[in-house]
Amino acid sequence: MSRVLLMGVSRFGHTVDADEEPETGARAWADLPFVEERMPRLEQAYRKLAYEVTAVANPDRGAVLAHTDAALDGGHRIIHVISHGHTRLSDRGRSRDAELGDKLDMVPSCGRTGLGTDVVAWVRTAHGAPEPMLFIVDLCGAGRAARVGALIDVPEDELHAWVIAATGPNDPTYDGLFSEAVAETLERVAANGLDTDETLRHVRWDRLVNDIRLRLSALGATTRLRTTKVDLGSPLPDLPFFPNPNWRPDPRRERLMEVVPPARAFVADLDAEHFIDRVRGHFVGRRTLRSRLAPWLDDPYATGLCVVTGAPGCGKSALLASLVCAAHKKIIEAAPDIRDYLRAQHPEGVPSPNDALVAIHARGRGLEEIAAAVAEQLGFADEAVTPAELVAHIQRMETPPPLVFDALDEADNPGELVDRLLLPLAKGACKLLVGTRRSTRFEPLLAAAQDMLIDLDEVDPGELRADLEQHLGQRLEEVPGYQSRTVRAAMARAVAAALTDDVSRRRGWGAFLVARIYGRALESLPVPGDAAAAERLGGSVPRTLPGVLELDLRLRPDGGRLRAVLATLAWAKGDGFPADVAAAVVPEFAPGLTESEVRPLLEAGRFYIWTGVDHDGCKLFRLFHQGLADYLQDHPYEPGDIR
Amino acid sequence: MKIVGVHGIGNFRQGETAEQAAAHLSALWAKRLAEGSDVSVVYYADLLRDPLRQSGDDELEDLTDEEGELLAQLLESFPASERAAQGWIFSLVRAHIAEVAESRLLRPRMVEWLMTRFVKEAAAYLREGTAVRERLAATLRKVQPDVLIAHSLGTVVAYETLHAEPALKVPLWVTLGSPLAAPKAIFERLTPPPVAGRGERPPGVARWANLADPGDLFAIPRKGISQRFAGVDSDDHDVVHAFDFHKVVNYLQTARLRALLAQ
Repeated sequence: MSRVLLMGVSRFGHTVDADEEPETGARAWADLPFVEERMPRLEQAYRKLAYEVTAVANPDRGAVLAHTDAALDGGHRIIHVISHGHTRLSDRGRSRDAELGDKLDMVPSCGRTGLGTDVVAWVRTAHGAPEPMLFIVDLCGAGRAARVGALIDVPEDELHAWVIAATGPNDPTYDGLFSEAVAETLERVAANGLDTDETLRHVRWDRLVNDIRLRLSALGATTRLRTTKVDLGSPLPDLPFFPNPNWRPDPRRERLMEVVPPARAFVADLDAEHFIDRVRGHFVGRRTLRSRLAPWLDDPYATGLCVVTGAPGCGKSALLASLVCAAHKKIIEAAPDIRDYLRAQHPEGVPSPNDALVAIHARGRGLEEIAAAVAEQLGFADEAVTPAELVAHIQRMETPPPLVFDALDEADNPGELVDRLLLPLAKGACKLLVGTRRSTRFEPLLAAAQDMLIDLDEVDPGELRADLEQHLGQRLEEVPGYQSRTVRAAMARAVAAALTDDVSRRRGWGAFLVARIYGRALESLPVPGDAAAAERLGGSVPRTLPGVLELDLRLRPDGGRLRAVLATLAWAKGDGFPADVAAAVVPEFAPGLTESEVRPLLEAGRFYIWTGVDHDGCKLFRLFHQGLADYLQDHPYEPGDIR
Repeated sequence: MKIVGVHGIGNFRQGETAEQAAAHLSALWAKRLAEGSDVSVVYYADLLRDPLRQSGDDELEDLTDEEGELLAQLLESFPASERAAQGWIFSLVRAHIAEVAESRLLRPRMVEWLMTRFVKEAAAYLREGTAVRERLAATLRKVQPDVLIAHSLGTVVAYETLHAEPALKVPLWVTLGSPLAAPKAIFERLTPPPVAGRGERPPGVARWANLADPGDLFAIPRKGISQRFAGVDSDDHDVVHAFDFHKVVNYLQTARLRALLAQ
């Protein structure tokens, strides 16, 4: 099935008798010497993608007819052509009225177009084939093949003829630059799948096309490529043209990808490896609060606004996520193991699964996007809704749906979100749970919460200390050398005590974030020999995020370079940077660091990095905590490094 | 008699090397000229093509803005119905060409092709014609002909080459269907530029004779060569009414040319 027909014409046979002048009106096609250079590179690029290539140089009309017939009939996946393109009647005796608009001939080596050379006809025929086919058309006027009238109304998931064309329907193309760009993209697909996330079997259409477009403009082409038009109203089908070399079958992650992104963001990290370890590390403690909030979420008559606030890293997101992951129907369907784990730990703190629960992680999202995502989760996505309509709609519902918003402070224009959506919802007898850092601009919202304002910095230090101790104890189980339970216990106790001893410090950096990174640093520090040594070491834990981050980076041999990568990701917006974008920025912080050095660092820094997936399937990287990003934005270089 | 020929527009020979094309053209000219003529035709159509472009270049839609302007200037010589064209608009140009065709009982698409080819090749030559002139000069130096016969755009090539290299001696220069006097499109763009509205016979040319078919679209204006250039010895604008004025063979076989060569 994985076969490519590659046809290129570099030389055109003579058409005039030696002792005649060319006829008035006769067409003459100049040779295209560059085709000879493009063909071997393309052939090799397709082979690298495990395609079986039929390469045909200089076919005449009969050969074009025979090869395309065989390819269309015999289940080739791709047909790629380079030659002159021709869109007119060959006979100039007739008027323009006799021309057919929907026609694009690939000029064969004999120079005579006719039966078998019309690319539009190939595309129409391929649509009738049992499997999707791709046409890569490097001809002048190639865009005609991408806009076949008969196929305009076919829904994407039923369309079997897909086209990437070098140029517009009436525009020229030059020098086979388009095929050169395609070859570069194919080579990149073979090398890294264009950084497509490992949940996707194939490189997505939009990612592929965009990459060819970028290569084309990098080559200095002035033409714009054209492709089969896709309707943004429906999701793109998984097109089988270019397998993703990164693909790792992971049913949980594939199911999670079906969850709308603002809700999906509550799941700690999508990565399959160590998934449950991460769940354990992420959802720890806060039993009292969870026991209070879970029944409130479940109570069909309860309404009101609850705001959870506190210092960066104090565990707001973890608390909200533990409730969302246990109650959001779609997340439970995709990753039931999170709810199972939480129930096993602390059944009283786990809300019931709730069809109506809406979860919105506001990071990097604006009001319109958030309103649309709420509407979608409530099941009235088809109606375009303004925030005011949305509020009215929710108020009319018989049972108020629980609405959970996290990372309000990281939204695009949070003030607008508060004024136009959250406050109206809060005033309108809805049920709202919001997580945000403190900030003066949120004062009206915090005031509206009244007795449901939960400041995590004010919770009982005893419980916080116990939570930290438990979190660290679990973390140490995985650190090499910490087999001794007494050493583990002493260490966990000492760190928890140190991080909770000074109430005044707690407004600065959340103890959980510091503890988490310290757990990482302990992997590089000598393991204490006994409980007393563990207590001494644990007592020396840095109390602040900057302190503990600097400690960990100093302990790592690649710390300097890793810092540059993390400092880069600190600037990521929304769901993060793709690897190539990160690699392009890293030299700002570590001159000379190349893409091939940055990629392994993105893996090495996984502890600090969460991954996500962009709309075009590209894997994205960002820091696991905004507090970390804030610090690294201000301190991108090592202390003492004066730049 | 040693004759050097320079071809006109629309002579790109697909699938032939420049050497093959020159040989074929020389043979086909020789066949139509008097017996015993030693003919070397200079081929240059290959130099006027864009070697990177992946399509033909003979539709109005293929013209660049610069070429469109040249076409508009060329069309000014042909009367048209009253119309207010603003800028370069295909449909207006197409309608104008259709009128030209109708007035001459030609097919509109043929006239379109001729106009497009002329404009494409003339523009390419005027943009960068050094290599073309070098080919002609090299042949003239080597052959030292008795007669130089240039057709259509070839007359522009010959005019500029002979002016650029005054040492090249040509006893008789025959121009066939020449656009040299075409106002704006060609005449004002010549090198050397005309002085006070007059061009001049190239210094190495002893005698200059011009022949034109009254139907030839590019031999404009009528009698323009003798009016616009000093030193034209004869300007005959009623040669033939050839069915296919575009082809050089129809000029080569005329009695007027035979008579000129026999003098």
